[in-house]
Amino acid sequence: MRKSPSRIFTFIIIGLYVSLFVTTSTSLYSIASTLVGSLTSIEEIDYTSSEDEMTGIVDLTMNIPAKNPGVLDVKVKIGFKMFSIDETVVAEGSDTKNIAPGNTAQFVISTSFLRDDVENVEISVECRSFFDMFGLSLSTKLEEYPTSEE
Amino acid sequence: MELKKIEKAILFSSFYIFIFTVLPSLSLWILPPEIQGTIPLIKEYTGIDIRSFIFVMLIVGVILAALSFLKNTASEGSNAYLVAGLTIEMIGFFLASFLLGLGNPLSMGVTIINLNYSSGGTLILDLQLAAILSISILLMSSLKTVMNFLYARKENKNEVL
Repeated sequence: MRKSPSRIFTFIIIGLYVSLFVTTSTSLYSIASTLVGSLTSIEEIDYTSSEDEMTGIVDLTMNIPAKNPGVLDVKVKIGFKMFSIDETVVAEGSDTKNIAPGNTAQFVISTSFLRDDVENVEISVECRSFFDMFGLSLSTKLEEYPTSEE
Repeated sequence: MELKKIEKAILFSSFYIFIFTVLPSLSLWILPPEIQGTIPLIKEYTGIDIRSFIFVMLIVGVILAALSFLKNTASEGSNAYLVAGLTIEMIGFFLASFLLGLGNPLSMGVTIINLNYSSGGTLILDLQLAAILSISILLMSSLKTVMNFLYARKENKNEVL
């Protein structure tokens, strides 16, 4: 019996399996390790804030370091939202950077808000890799957030 | 039935049993106690039950092994070959979707997990490319099975003539 022409599919299927395992494992490793690194560096955030006593407006600048220990470039977006007591967004800011493997980037986020308006703060970290085809993001509300008094 | 065909069937079935049944079960025994201790915590904070994942893999592994044995022992032109082959691809795709969706096969690679801790949070996992590749594998493998079946039928007809 002659060999079936479907043998060409065998090579395509093997190629697809290899692509699936290689892209998924390298992307997941890169984005997960960057996300974990970014979350641990949140404790090292450098806050600079000033308050206008007349208007009560607080100018806040945050410097957040993030490292990519993975094997692929990772696009990282770090942002935050400040909510009032009725869950309305009163201030927000974000910074996006592409971090090469093994490199560290400094994220600078600035915003202004009325101190009395802010009830809670939500911080989010989004990591995407492999032409933005894989992504992992985490958003969480902070129990403590910076004010001009700190 | 050729001995070579049975050997091949046993080899493929053993592969499925090893990958989906033996390895996941062993991993639960081999893991150090501190990592095993995180399994209930993962369930508590994310709702993901790793033990139920492994249980699903065990069942799927046994079904895949049985179907693989049937497919590899059946003649390529038989209906049993076609049905077993296509069912293997469908079950394989279900398992891939189940794992990529962290327990939700309908998520198509995008999973939203609500984290249960004091201040709360949301984790979004986007594996759409992996889902697209899984669909491509399903289509290509199914096409291959159908082509093998049709080709074998045609060859059998030619041999009779």
